[in-house]
Amino acid sequence: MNCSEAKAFFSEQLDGTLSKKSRAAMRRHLESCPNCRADCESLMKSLKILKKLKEVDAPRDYRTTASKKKGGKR
Amino acid sequence: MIGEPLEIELVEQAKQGDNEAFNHLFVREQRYLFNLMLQLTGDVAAADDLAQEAFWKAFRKMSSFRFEASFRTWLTKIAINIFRNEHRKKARHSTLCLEEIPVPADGDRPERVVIKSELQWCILHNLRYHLPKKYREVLVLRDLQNLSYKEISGVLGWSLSRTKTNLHRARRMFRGQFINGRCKAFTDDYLCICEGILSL
Repeated sequence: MNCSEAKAFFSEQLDGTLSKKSRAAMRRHLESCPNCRADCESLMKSLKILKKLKEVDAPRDYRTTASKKKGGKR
Repeated sequence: MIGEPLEIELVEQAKQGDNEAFNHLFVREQRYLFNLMLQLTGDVAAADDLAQEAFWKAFRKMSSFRFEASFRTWLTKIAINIFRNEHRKKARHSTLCLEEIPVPADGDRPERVVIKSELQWCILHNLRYHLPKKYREVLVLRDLQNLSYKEISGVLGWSLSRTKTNLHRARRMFRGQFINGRCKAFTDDYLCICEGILSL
């Protein structure tokens, strides 16, 4: 696996969806290429930041709206 | 002991006009749907309106549900279509990004202090203003809502390979704002100094 092949698969590497063979090739490449390793690590770091976005409660119960509109066409 | 009713049973009943079954489905999904809309729009009021619209549309279209996907995936597809329609309307107006607002260079710079600890705000801001719609959609569905590649392909109407490519580009673009851009402080301690957000 070369650098451009590795970069194309970073996303799948992070998602754990690479095949066993590709995963092994990726591991070998990352061990030998500091640039790709840093690239992959920073991608992982930014995903961690994104995942820090917290979910919040819905501001109201949407059932009420549907029940009120229920008389209309469906 | 009677457990929670199965989704398939609730959907069957809702398809036959059972409003109580539909309410059960609503309750299960309303937090998910509101947060999905919030992540896509970055705006609480808009998310509230769009979530309501999506539920109402789902309610009306329930009889067309074919069990080809889970109820949530089906609902997500409805939600994405509503978001896209809204986005098209809004695209006619220019959106105001704080990046374009010059903030005074001296004094206490309260804006900077307030925003400093607002990681949540910064993430939503970046999704809303710094990612094109298609990248925002795929990033939200995969990394915030944990849909599989296959589910995302179905919801967004993309091939599997297009989904993977766009996800890859979306992640790189999102990273660019925080790591290669001026928001570099994020990566060290998750504390936003907003150098990449405001023109300080």
